[in-house]
Amino acid sequence: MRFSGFRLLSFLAVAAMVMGVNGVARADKKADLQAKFKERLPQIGALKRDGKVGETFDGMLEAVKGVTLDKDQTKLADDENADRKEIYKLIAAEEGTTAEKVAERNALRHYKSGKKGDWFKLKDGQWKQKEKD
Amino acid sequence: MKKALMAGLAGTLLMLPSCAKVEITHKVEPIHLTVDINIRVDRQLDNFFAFEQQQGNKAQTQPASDGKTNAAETATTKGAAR
Repeated sequence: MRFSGFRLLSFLAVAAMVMGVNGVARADKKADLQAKFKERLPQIGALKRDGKVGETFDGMLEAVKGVTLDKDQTKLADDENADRKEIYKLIAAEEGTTAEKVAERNALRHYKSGKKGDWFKLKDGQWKQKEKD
Repeated sequence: MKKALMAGLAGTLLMLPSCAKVEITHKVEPIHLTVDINIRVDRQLDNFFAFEQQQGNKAQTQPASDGKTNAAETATTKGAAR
């Protein structure tokens, strides 16, 4: 009986350690991602104000219809989207939902905080410019 | 026999509203859960991207250029302040 109690305690201790390590790893990953988003934000903001990129309905950054991004701009957008996918997955895992759901909510957040003139890609593939802040 | 049939019919009629109640519960619950998840996800996103507000506000005051103009403007502003 004592042995079984010991085993239970050991199991709980190991489980707590695994959960703790996972939590720390997740927090580290989020901090890394946040730093990268922060670094890219001014350049992305400039591209948005220039009308070169816009936000899509599925929470991604994309070149606005008819715009061709140069090599650096394409890399910037690709890096941003890769990191967005990561953060969507992390938040989805924490909240017990799907990355698609988180992406959709982020798209809505971008639309709400978007400025007049910012471009948004709708579900039907149409690009629309926001008319009001 | 007739009484038994009537009693059975009455019993069935009484059970019908309870069936309808179960159906309503199934319809309401997923909506509640979805709203709850949306709120939690929105909160997570707002917290994670909170820096955008601060940096975004700064960026809005600057033109979308390569930064040379910004530096020139800053210098002008500093000069004017003096």
